Amino acid sequence: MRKWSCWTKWSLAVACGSAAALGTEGAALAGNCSLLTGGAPNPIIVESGDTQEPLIKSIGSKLVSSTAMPMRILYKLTGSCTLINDMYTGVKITTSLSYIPTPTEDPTWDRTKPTPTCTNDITGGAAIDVAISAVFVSSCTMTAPPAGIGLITGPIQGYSFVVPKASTQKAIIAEEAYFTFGFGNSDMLGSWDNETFMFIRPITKSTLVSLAANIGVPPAKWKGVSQPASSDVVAALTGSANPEKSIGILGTEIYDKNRATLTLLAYQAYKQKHAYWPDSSPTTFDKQPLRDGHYLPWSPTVYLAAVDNMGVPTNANVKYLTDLILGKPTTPAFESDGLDSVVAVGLTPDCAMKVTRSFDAGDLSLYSPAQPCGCYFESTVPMGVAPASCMTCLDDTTCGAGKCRHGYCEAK
Amino acid sequence: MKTFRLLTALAFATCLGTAAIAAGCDSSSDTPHDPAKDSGPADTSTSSDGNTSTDGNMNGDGGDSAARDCFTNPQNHFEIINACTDAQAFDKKPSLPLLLPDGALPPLP
Repeated sequence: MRKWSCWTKWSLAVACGSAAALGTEGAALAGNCSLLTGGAPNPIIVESGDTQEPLIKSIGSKLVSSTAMPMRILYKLTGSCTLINDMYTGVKITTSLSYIPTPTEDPTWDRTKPTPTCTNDITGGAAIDVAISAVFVSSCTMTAPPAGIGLITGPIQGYSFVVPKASTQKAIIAEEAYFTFGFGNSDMLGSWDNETFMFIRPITKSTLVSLAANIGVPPAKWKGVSQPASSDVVAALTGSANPEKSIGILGTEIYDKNRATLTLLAYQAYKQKHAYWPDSSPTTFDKQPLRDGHYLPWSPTVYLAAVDNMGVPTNANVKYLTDLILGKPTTPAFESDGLDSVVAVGLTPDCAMKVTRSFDAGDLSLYSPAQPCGCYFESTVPMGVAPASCMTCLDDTTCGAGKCRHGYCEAK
Repeated sequence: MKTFRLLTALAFATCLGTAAIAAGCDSSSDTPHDPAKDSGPADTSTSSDGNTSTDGNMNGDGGDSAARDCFTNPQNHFEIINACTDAQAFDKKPSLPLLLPDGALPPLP
């Protein structure tokens, strides 16, 4: 009896201890945001388009467990045009924030899992340190940024027209897209002519804004069923009762994660002679046509932040984060190459581009990045192989007149 | 008068021939494009599409309109988007009943 009683007490103690631990963890995972912004790791408040969440989670998970530069990203997802306005007008976030948990708070968390949220109890709201648009700012406003707010060009975001795997459709030409999304039920195409099976995004979202510019149908004129999130477009397409009539719009990186159930349509732009996929074939991930100007639906991501007279972010955490994402050297040196996260989530670093443009759907011109990374990019994408012309290197000494960048000799 | 009729007939025949070639070009529907057609020898001929001033060398032998559709040394937007490439392409010629008679897009409803 005494022995049993002792066992009972021990069990009770363990149970109580576990409950206490769970209670503590639960509080950290669903507590007040001020508990997360008041100390280490360094907090950084981000407002972002939802296409950039995979990058936030990928690079955020590395930053939060970094010993070189521990940093915690707290973020809110919204439309690109909304966040641009927020940065222009100094709006603070008052709603709950998602955040990257530390390994201590949740040892099981990784970027494939949903992020926890905290209750926003920050007095007056959380000031946005950096906002990430996935379209040119000029697509949302022609007003110049207010003094002290700078625009930093980030990785390139591809956009796409997608259909269910069961559809027989393989491509869409710009004129066809104009009629599909501009005329809806009355487009007389015989293919996509039922608006209930056309899954679009809200007019402030980058996916719609960028594609709208490409096909010449203003965002407010689009026909179809507006879906709040990219994941809803995926769900609507995969669950469609009429796959042949169904079409949706997605960021290419979202499509890349859903290739088993969706088909990305090759796109032929106005004045173009053939349709192309963003990759050199439907089964590769090299983004060759997007990089060299054959696949046109893309926009740069644009980072909006407070900057000094030289255009350098005044917040040291923002500077570190943007340098990492742009593949620039960082001080202190980070544990991994920031471009790894960019490529891993399906974005294309600006340094791997061969063409550029100055506004959404604007004419393309040839582009030679100041610090090219084409060899690194082509070797790093899924199934990627560096071209034979790309030599690996440890420093500039083996690159002749070129430079060693991200492990490969580049021309400059 | 006889000369005028001859010239008219000649012009009509030329139009018919051009239309026939154009119809031939447009007769393809949904087909994968053969990138091999984009890899022929370069020449210095310029584009006949639109009013773009071109410096990019155009692929082809000067007689095969099907092969004369890519640029080996693209310099401007039109040439870049139609540059020669080994990427897989797809040709689709959907019927667009709402296109205006001159081929322009109608205004949105």
